[in-house]
Amino acid sequence: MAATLQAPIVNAVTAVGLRPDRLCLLLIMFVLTACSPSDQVEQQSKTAASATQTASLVLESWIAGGAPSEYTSRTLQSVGKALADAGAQIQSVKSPEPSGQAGLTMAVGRLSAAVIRAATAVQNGNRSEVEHAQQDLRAAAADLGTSYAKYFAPKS
Amino acid sequence: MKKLLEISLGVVTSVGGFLEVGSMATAAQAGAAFRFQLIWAVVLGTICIIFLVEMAGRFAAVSHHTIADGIRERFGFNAFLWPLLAALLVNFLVMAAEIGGVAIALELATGIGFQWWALPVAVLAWLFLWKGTFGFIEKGVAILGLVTLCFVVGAVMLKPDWGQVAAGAVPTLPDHDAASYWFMAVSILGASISPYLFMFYSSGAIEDEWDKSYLGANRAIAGLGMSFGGTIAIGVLIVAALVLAAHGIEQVDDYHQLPLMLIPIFGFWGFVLFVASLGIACFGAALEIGLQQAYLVAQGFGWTWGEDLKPRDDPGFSTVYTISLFLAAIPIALGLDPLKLTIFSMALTAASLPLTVVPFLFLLNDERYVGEHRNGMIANAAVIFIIALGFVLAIVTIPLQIFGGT
Repeated sequence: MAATLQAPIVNAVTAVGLRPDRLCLLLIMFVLTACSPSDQVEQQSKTAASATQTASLVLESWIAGGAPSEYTSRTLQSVGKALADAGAQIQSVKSPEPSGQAGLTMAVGRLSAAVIRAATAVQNGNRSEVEHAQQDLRAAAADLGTSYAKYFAPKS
Repeated sequence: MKKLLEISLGVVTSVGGFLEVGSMATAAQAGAAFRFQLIWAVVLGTICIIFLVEMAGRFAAVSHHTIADGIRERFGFNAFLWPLLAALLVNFLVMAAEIGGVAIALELATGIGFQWWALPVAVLAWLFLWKGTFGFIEKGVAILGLVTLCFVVGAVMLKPDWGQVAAGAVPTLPDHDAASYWFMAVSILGASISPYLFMFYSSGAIEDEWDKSYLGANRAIAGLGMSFGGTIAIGVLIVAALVLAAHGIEQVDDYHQLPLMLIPIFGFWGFVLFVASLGIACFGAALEIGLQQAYLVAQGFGWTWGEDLKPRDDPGFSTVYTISLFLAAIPIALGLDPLKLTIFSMALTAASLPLTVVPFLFLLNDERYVGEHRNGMIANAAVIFIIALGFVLAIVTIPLQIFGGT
């Protein structure tokens, strides 16, 4: 059954002058090159921005009494971990723009630290510390925006 | 009056079956990332499942066979083996995802990690199946599942631009993240067109002793029930677009993000409603899939089966749901992320659909089984088109998603 299905595909591929093993190689190369360093930095920066907004919304909800402390704290810990991962991924990319890359890594690191501090403050029920962490989060988010714009600015 | 009551209960039951962790998670991701742009995928999936559920009920009422029974009898055991294995595998993954959904709900409610809840949830589901009757499981859990209507209420309260919502029902090309867009479309189709749903429905029709007098009720239940379920899924998508995307949350890759859909609308009650919706809908789905696994194997091998029988009277049937439930709990107990498992299993469901649906279509066009009630052209064409679309998209997008496409 499988052989009868495979035969026409193999014939079609051979007919256009491409052997199946080369086609596989081409597909693998396509997949590997599909993500350029710039794509990876962009993807991780978007992940970091989305995670930051999650932290921001859950903190707002906690302050308004809508989100329970246990849930808020766990969400923040999870977001902090996602931010740390995104930071590590950005750092590991072999980028042609090392200074822009360092700016992004630093901004994501600040975000991660602010989120972890907020998680601890929520756990302790310390409202003023949560509000401080929230301010740090906003500042770090603005930094991320600036670093992102600088990294992707058209080069003259 | 009795028929009207049966139709109402049937509609409620269909809603309970439609909305589960798959449709909730995929709709939430789609709404956050692409706002209303993927509503068409929910609409297409709902149209397809309306046709399939109607066919499953019609087939059972006219031929007094379940789908599995019919495929085995019509094509022989060897040909039946492939759809059987595909359905068992996909059902296993979806059941693990549903157990994960209940476990997440319990984690959110108690603060105890989801992996610790996987086995207790499997034990509780097993107890329901061991002690309960078909009517109790079908209707009891489904009525509780009406709590998921909170998403529709939330969507209305957010006052969306209904023109934009309607525009989302028309397929359009994405202006960013194309691979992710099509992968989400596939996952939504997979979540809407779950084979367990229409196969379970045909077994239920036999359990409830349907005959030709139920054909009208069957059409009403399939049409109204699935549309109602699709409306709730669209409600989830609208809420995700207007709450998560509006706050800049465009990626939903962590289950902790999900309650944030309802908290800004209902405050603390939003958190409670989300936990209840997720827990009840997923528990109901886990019970139905557990039963469906047992139906599939028992009907395939010609064993005695029936949820209303005592376990000692159908030992093979009860052994299958027992083993299925405990095996499905293992990946979650080992800490596999339920949200990632859900999205992957929904896409895989779409890829596997031709294996389960195509033999079923043959049965629905075979006069020996359905006589004058065989399929019309429109039903055949609609189902073939949607299944082919889901299959092709799944084959293209699953590798891209796994190997890091954006």
